[in-house]
Amino acid sequence: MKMNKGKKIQEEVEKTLHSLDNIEDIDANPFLYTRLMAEISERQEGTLKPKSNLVGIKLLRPVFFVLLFLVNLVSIIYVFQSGESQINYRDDYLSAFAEEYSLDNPNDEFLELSE
Amino acid sequence: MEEKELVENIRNGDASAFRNLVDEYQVKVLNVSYRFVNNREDTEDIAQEVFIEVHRSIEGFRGDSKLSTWIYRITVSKSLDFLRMKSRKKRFGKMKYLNGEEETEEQIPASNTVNPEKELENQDRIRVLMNAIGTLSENQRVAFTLSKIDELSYKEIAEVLGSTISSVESLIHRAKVNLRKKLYNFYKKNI
Repeated sequence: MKMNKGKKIQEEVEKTLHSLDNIEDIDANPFLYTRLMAEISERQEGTLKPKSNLVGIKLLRPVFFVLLFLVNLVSIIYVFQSGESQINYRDDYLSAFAEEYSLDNPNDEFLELSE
Repeated sequence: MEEKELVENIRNGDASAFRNLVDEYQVKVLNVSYRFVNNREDTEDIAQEVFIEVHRSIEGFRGDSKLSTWIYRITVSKSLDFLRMKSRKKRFGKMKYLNGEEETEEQIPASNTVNPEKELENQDRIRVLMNAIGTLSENQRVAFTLSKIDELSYKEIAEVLGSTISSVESLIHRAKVNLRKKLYNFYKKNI
């Protein structure tokens, strides 16, 4: 029984491998050339259009990079300036705090006592 | 018209020369591509892409290999690109199906011969064989298909693959061994 199955499988494998000879051939398509030429001219027209866009993109590229540089420069300046103003604000706040609690007077009694 | 002259005329924009090339190689291109994709409509689309590529890159054809080999190489490459794209789409389709967005449809091949049962059995065998060939590695698949189905010589296959004759021999041998194994396993499960 097992032998028969193995033999049958082998037969099927051989038959399937031989079915390669039965694969049909395809005939020429009489309209292929016409379709082809239409497609080629369509693509050539298509490639001309984006070319003009490409020229635009090429011209705009340096302008874009200059703008990008300027935006970065302005951002950097702004960040530094706001940093400086934050330092000034902190100093003002510290001196206001010291004034409020009389910490800026070295002759204060409290300070003398603690010493 | 000689091959060199034909190429030169196409380069010079001679439309009738290009037409001659299409007429001469159309059947070969269609049949090579058909062996890979196994569908007439897809095959014609691929053939169109092949000739567009030939038209576009004929300037770069240096004549190191025969014109037919160069065209075979483009055909194989376009066919494999198509199969890769198709398998990507299939994966995406499965994902969509799992998400419940789209249902896939099974195509049942129509029988059009006097002996429909025999024809159906034949088509079934070809389908099983093509599926098995499709699971071979890309180089084994190309070498086996060009050799067994399109009957190209080992030298021509080596030129198409950019390889050596001995490696083509080895590829075809391994392809045969693997095919037998795959088919054996298939029928072991399905008999």
